[in-house]
Amino acid sequence: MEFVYPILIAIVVGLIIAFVLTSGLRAELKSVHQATQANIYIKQGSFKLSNEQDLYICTKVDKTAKPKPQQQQQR
Amino acid sequence: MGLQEYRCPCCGGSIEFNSSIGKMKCPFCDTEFEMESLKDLDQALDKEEPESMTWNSYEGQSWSGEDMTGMAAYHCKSCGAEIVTAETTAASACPFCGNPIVMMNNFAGNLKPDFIIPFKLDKNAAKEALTKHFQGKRLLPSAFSSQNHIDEVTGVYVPFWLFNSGADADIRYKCTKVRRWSDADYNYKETKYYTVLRSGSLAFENIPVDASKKMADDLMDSLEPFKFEEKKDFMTAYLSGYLADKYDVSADESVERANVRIKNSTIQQFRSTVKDYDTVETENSNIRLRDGSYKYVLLPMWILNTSWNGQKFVFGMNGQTGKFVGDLPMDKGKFWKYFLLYFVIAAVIVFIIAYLLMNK
Repeated sequence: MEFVYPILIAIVVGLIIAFVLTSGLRAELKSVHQATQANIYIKQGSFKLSNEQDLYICTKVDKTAKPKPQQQQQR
Repeated sequence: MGLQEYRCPCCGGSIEFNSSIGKMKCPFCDTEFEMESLKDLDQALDKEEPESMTWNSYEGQSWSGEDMTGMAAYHCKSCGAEIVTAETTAASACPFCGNPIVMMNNFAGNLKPDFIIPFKLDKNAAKEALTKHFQGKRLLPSAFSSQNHIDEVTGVYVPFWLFNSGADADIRYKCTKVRRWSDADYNYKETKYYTVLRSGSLAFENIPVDASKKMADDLMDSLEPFKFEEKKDFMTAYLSGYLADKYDVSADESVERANVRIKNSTIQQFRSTVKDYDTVETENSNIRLRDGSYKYVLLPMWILNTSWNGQKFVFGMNGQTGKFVGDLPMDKGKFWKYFLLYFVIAAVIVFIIAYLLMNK
């Protein structure tokens, strides 16, 4: 019985680690991707902010009761 | 003037003025709002302008009789490609599909390219880059790299549209700061709501979008970037020894791809200025292009075609920088071998650690 839990944990964690590492190997084969951004084409020094406002709107406080310990409830 | 309706950031309900407290209040969740904050928000919303992604029209240059002297045009009956080259360059196979191409009687040009980036790297550099591309790929089938015979290595000038534009943007974010604490009886969660406004501008230079239907968009995108500071005015002499594809995707058809990239990068750039919040949600973004213009250019690519197991593989090398890309096949047997190896090693290590911890 003392081996059951360590074996189960080892199988699950082992599968996850093997999946992550082999996914990395698969990714090595793919070098073609569609470009979705143009960050490298932003003219140096051209980005300028003309308005920067952080407006506080409101505050909301949620209060939830803590569960009472069982002993207190029984008394 | 239309009535401005305010929405409660906490619950989304319409908020209204409560005369007894002299403040705006949400009738659904009872959150109260400072009038001053809403006044600032009002002013900011008034300034917002509609989005506009329009580009200036492009005249382009026509071919002169002098330009066309010494040029030859070929037609591929298989994929429809029209290829241009110097009369002295022998072209027999289509660089895109590998089928034989035939010389056309006369050269009917569309537009003359504004610029060209000449080839800096030769065919041998492309072949060396391919060998290097195979190295270190542990899941690549051994037979693919050892038996691989590249059918054709062709230097092609691929037509591109280069987009230049300024962009003005107004972006509004809904942000929160969250604080939690507890006392003996309750857990508390305080959420502070903010409307964050950012306006500004930035400029984009030389965003390339390929203008050839035969070239896969993702392959062309992956070969970026180019050093556009090295671009030259177009001269027919640069085509000697290489093929040049004529554009068959108009600038109007290509503009959408440039717009998407500009929009995404503008949003990302402005987002980087919104800091110190626990959550940030974009509520509204207006991006307006300014002085948008484009040019027609030819960019140098080495295209390498090969087939393996009935599948076609296309590799490309940037003829200026040497960047090499191309997806490779996977050996499923190797994949499972590595999966099993990693699984066994990880499982043994995890088992030992778990056993020692549980039986302390």
